Amino acid sequence: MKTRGGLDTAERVLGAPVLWAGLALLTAFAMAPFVWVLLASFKTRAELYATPLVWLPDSLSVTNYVEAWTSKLTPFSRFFANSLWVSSATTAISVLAGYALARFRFAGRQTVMMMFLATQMFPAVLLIAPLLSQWNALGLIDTYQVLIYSNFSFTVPFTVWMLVGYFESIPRELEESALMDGCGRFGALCRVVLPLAAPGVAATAIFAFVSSWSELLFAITFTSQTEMRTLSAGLLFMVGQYEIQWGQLSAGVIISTLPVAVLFTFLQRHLIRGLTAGALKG
Amino acid sequence: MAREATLARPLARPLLSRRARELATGYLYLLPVVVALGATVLVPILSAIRMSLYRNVLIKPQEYGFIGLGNYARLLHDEVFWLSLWNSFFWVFGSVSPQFLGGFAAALLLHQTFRGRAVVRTLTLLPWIIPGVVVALIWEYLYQPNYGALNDLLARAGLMTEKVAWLSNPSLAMPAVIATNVWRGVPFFAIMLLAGLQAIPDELYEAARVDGAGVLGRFWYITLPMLRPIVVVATATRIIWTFNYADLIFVMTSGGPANATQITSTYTLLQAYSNLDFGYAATLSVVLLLIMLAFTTLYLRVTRGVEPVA
Repeated sequence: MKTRGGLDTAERVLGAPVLWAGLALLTAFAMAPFVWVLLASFKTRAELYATPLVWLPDSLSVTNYVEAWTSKLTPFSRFFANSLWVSSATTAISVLAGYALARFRFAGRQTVMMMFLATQMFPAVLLIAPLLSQWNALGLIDTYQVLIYSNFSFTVPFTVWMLVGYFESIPRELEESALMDGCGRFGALCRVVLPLAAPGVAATAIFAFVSSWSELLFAITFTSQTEMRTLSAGLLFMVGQYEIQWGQLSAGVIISTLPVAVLFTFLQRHLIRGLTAGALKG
Repeated sequence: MAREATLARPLARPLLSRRARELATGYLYLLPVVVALGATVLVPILSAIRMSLYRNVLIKPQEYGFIGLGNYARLLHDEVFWLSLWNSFFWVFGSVSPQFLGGFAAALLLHQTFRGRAVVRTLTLLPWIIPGVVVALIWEYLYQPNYGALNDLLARAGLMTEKVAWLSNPSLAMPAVIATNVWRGVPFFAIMLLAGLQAIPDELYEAARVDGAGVLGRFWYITLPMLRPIVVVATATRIIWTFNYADLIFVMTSGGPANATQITSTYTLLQAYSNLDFGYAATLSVVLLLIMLAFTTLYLRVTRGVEPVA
């Protein structure tokens, strides 16, 4: 029978190599596809379609990026701006809307919260046909609003749930004393609650931003003009257009990934804490 | 004096009491959420249910009309629907089980203390955060028969003599899209379980160590039971999400070849986008929702739920 000490020795001796091997494997698994596309985005046409395959580009040519960014047919600069605007507006409004439910007690709050949780269960495909008819009737097709409004269907329940977790960790007394001191509700929110909840709000906002940045089905259903496409829709459109231009497409993929990757580096720490706060409750 | 006179003037009585004003402001804050979700979730769901009771094919407006449960009857005899349902279950369990196992292993690794942990965490969790289209296109390129990385690697390793068309081979397409989905989902479980691991107090491990519990003992008697609530929540949300998720397959194969990767949610899209049959698409999506409701109820009963919601 092994003693406690024996096991701990085994842990010490085996621990490090197992850990490093595991980490190396995990990183390779996660990063290899990115590396492949990143390399492809710098390749020339000849390198992309060479047999046998050329893995490393001769030089770091940025032609693919310039072409994708300025292309008339698939203008990524425009797609990028569209995604940025739609995602920012969705995020700002969702986070503000989330605050009310998170902070304000009213009769039936529990029921409303449970209903929000239930919306997470609804397939996006369920909403597409009715939303299309609805937006069509309102004459909103091919507008930014239509994407922003549609995105609420998945961002708002999420922001509400996440913010409830964060705001509930801030003592209500703090806000009440601010109200006593003559702050309005909005003033109390800005001066007392928000600074304390800032990390949580930031995490929630980033998450809302990233999920609207990724949205595809609404974007391809409710817009039809090239200049209204978001990055996701633009990428798909690029595939459907002609024989796939893997170089430009890879550049487009990297352009679409970069902003969320940067945000995620900030988010990573908070997300892990924030998810426990929300998830363990729900 | 003027000053005193100002002070002495009686306060105008507010129209509403403080409490009432407080409530009114609160409900005012509530309004945007109610409007947003009413217009984008509640009303559309009700109209989807209504739509499912109508014959509503956009290219045949002359046939528009109420047909009761006609679309549901059609569904019972629709072989592609039953195939898509079977494919959905294959897709969900084929994706979620490796995601869970891989994610658990990743979480245990990322929970350790080592140099550069923040960087490694960010890099390894990245596949989860990037847009679905991006995931789909990256993998479509990897699977590309002539210029893709996978065939080249397999050929160089001497494991493959003829080029394989991963996504257009009926028996390989589903495993190929599942592999893509696994890549995307491992970080999700890693994040959720890592959060759970961080919430376990160190004292428990210390106490167990003093009592003579080994690595495996500590894992079995502390880590697993303490993670249980988060495992239940994470797997349930992931199963539901994967079942409903259409983007990946829609971009990579559109349900092909020959419906080999047709899951119920992509079949719904097919009906709506290609056949413009909104009535039948609505029917499919309502059924999709009912299946998920049944699943959630059953799942929460079997796992005895989590602690009551706050």
